Amino acid sequence: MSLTIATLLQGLFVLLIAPFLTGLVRFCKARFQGRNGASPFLPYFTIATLFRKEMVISNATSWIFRAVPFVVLSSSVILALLLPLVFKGASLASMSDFLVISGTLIVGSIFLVLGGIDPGSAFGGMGSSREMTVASLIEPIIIMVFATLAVVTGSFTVDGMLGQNLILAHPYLIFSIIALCMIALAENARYPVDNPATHLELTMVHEAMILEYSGPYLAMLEYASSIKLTAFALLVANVIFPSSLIAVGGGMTFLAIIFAVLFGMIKVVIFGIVLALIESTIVKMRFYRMQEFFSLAFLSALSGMVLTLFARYGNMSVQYHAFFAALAILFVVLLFGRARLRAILRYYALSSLSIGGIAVALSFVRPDEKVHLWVFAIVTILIKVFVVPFIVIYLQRKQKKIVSLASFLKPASSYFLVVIILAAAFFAVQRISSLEIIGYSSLLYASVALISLGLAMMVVHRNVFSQIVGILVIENGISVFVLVTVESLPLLIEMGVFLITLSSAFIFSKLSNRIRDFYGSTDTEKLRNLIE
Amino acid sequence: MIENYIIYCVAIYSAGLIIASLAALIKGSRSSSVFFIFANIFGSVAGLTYLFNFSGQALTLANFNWLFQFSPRLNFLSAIFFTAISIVSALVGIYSIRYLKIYDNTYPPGTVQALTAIFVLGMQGVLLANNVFVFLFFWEVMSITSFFLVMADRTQESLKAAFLYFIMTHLGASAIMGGFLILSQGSLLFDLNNIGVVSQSISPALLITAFILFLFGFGSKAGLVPFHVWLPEAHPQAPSNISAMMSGLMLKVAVYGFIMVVFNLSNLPIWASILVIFLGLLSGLVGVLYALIEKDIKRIFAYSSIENMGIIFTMLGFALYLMSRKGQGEVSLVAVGVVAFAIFHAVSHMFFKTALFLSSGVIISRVHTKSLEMMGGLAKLMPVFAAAFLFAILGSLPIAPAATFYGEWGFIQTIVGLLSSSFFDVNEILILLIMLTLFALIGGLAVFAMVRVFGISMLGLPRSKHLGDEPEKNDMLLIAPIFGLIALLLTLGIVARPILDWLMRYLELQKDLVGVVTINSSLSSLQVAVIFILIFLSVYLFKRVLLKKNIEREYHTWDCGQPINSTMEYTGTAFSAPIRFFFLRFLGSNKMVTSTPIIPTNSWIKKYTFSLVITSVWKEKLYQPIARVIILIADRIKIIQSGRVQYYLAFLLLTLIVTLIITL
Repeated sequence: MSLTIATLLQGLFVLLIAPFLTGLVRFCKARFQGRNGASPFLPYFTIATLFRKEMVISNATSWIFRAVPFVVLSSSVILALLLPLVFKGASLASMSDFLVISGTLIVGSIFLVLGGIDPGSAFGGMGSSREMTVASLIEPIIIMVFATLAVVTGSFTVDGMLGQNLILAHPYLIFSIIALCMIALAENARYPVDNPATHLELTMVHEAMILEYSGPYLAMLEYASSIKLTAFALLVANVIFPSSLIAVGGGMTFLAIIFAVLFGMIKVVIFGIVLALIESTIVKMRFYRMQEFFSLAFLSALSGMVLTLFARYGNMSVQYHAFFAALAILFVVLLFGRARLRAILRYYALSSLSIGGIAVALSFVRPDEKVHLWVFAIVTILIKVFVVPFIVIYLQRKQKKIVSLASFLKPASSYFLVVIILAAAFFAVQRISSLEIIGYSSLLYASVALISLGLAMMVVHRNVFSQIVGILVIENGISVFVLVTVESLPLLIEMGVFLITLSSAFIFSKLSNRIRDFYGSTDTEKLRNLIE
Repeated sequence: MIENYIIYCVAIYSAGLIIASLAALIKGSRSSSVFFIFANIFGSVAGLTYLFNFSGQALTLANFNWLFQFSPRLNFLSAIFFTAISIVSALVGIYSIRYLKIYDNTYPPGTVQALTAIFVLGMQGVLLANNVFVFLFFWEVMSITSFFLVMADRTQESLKAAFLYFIMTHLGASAIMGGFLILSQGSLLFDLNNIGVVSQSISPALLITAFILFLFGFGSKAGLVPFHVWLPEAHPQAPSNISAMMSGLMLKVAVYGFIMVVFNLSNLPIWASILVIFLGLLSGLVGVLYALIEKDIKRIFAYSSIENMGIIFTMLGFALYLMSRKGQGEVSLVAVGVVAFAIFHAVSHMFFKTALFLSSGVIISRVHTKSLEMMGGLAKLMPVFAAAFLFAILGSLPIAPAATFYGEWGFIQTIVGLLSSSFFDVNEILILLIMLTLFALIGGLAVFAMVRVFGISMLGLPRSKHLGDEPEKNDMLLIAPIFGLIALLLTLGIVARPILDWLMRYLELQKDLVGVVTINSSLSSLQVAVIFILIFLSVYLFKRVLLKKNIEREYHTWDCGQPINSTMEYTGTAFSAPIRFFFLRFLGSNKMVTSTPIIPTNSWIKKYTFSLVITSVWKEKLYQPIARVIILIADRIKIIQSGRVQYYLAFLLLTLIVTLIITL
């Protein structure tokens, strides 16, 4: 009996606090923008007012138009009741299988889409087409994230997945959580997928579908999206802090209920502030760039799964230098799909910072080389994080327009190329280690991966400046290889290597500038034509 | 005792089908339909009786030893398909009564009805067959009747489509015959129960050849890419009730054949199962991508069938893989579970695909065109049918509580369960991850395709001016079978967990499999259905009861002051534009927009020409080169047809001598 009460209490809590979350996000955004902002409790009044207004129904619509708000609200209520948001182990817990949850999300999207097409206006069709694209491309990401959690915890229901401490015991799940956050942004029509506050129909995705609804139907649809946002807020917060869920299994005390509600409110408020912060700092992406967003989210989810499988079967303990090596590779992967020189150099700097971190972490593992490794780390950070990017940017400063380095591949395809390269590097390193020349370690894999990614970058990108960055990435890979193989390299040689990096960056940048001044462009496609 | 009932029912069934076809030719399609429906009801009763009482045993119905040793036999696998085909055929029979009446000057009703009855007889005969000759005989009956049915309207395009279908189906049938002849070493009266025994004693090279032949034969009938080119051509040209039966039922007979034959071959190499998985995933992707961008509503459903067959063959391939791998952990019994999920998905596909094609028949009968871009606005005109079509569309997506959900649910659970067990090495984990990703992607894109079909064809403003305003209740005989199929799908979804357990218990693949079969998930399909319906009802009642006062006003769609008409709303091509853009490299689509100014003085007044050509990559890059090579060879051989009788006689003599040398 107490299980059913817990479910109903959770549902009631989510239903009551949902409009507050929407209002809070708007309030915080307003404050960040320097405005006073409406009260966070305004959406309650909005919904109440809407329920009393007259509805205007288009005469082109059929009964499906009227059924849509009911189905959408039902799907949101189902989410609120099934997922472990405030209590864990409640009566419907066995139904919170992750495929059932993703099916419920899709049903909500389907009916919203049908409600957008029914009135026969072009805005509704556009919103429906975009929303359906987002919903169907999000599907593999949702399934991969939850499959990762299922592999880690051994349970297929979301309720069971939140039973143990996830992040502390399995730190590599951070990738899955990042993917889950991106899913939450996409499903709830937030930046960078959609702007919930826009008035321009050409920029709408979710709003365009509900354009024809008014009065009580509009209130139901707005309420449904608030409930979905609250459900996702609590879900993400619970994945990060599963211990804030109150288990209902052995009966509930009144104190437990109070604590559960309190924790719920704290999570909702924190999520609202963080969401407002995110929305105020990033821009909405153009819709046809959505494939980049989804490819990144999928890559993140896939890395979460791969790292999980590694940790289970690869007998790899979580070592810090492996973590920094993974970070170094990650930044180079992010660098791969970028087009602007400043962004590329920023990620290169972060990648070099991670390599410095590898050296620092290694100094704890090999204490006899401590001084050496620390010097290596400091010089790496000094030269590669600060001086080299500064040199390249400084030599670029004469150009007025933004340097955009085009590539032969679209960003999404380049991320898939990255996946293939990383997989091939993995199989190659396994072969090498089976030949017993050198033992397998994550650093060896990182160096091979960095070298191949640098090479691929030189091949795929079209701009001369990207060749420079490609060489720098290759050089990073070689320095990681040095860290793996050679026990102690004489300091002089290492300083020499750094000096070479510095001077080559300088010389290449100057040369590329000269090429640009002389030939008129740095695009290698244009440089192919012979001139006088 | 009960066996006798089953035998009598099956006998009445076959007799009823034959009488139905004769009645169609002699008296007319109306009376024939009645015989057809009753015959199918008897058949379904027989099948259900068998499944309730005799699951797991093979039941021989009769012994006609004088007629090529034909003894019709029901075993567990064939009984499932037998029952489902009978039930679906009965419902399609009800549909055909009104459908053939509407179209009686396009399709000759008597001929179509007669051929339909023989078509069903052929399908059921394949399921009841006990030896190779009977199997192939009924397979041919099925193929030839459907060939004639495809060109029922005797137009030029349907003749071409039927011709392509004829070639592909006979290539497939000869491949199957070749495979059986290899297995039986030349005997056509080889009993199908002995496949397992025989396959252990033939050489590996012959086994692989037989496997490839069976894969091609059953795969081409089921619509596996790259053998699928006939499906999107033939299914749209046939009358809608026939497309429903071909897509819903005939493809499953091919799946049955594949399971029955290939799963009994022992010692298949690993790469064989990986090939099946690869072809399955490829079919799934190609099917769903082309379903997204096609304009002809029946082609969309045909490609959706290809996608679902891809999903089923992926599951079957994975089961084969589990059975033939020799790894560290013994998980081969999980293969039984996976095959159970595949069969469950096949049966639910029977129901929803038939419902979809029957709905497309209704739509086409109202709008008089097959093109999606000329439809729209039907939901206002036919609200009951819109509900039926909507439920059929929702049933085709993997959404709880429809039955389609549980097949894919089980498969994904199996993959995740295998990932978390430690039995697999790195390469196998790669296969599992690829399957998981592509399954999810195919599911997501399938949602897109189906929603697009429903939205553009039923909702919005009507794009066609020929929308008749015949009242909907005349078409109740068309709509009722669709509701019947949906009810079946929902029932299957509600009792999904018990049925899956029952399937896993009685399905017999090979012997000596080890491992565990059950899924350790306590999801109850009944609970899912009940809770979802309860929540929906409570939301609805809450709104109706507590917020009773509902003032509304009717007005036209918000249009910024300019009147909008149906040319301004989103078309099907526009709806799928983002997906077309994202998957541009996979699709062979060619878009061209040319604008030419009309008046030299004002360059803003232009004439725009837009063309979007969607070509079938397979047809161009694979089939046409092969066809060209064959025609080239045929041209060269034409030399021997010189017209002189003496050369022909000399040629005959030469052939005779060579044959005698070979055989003696």
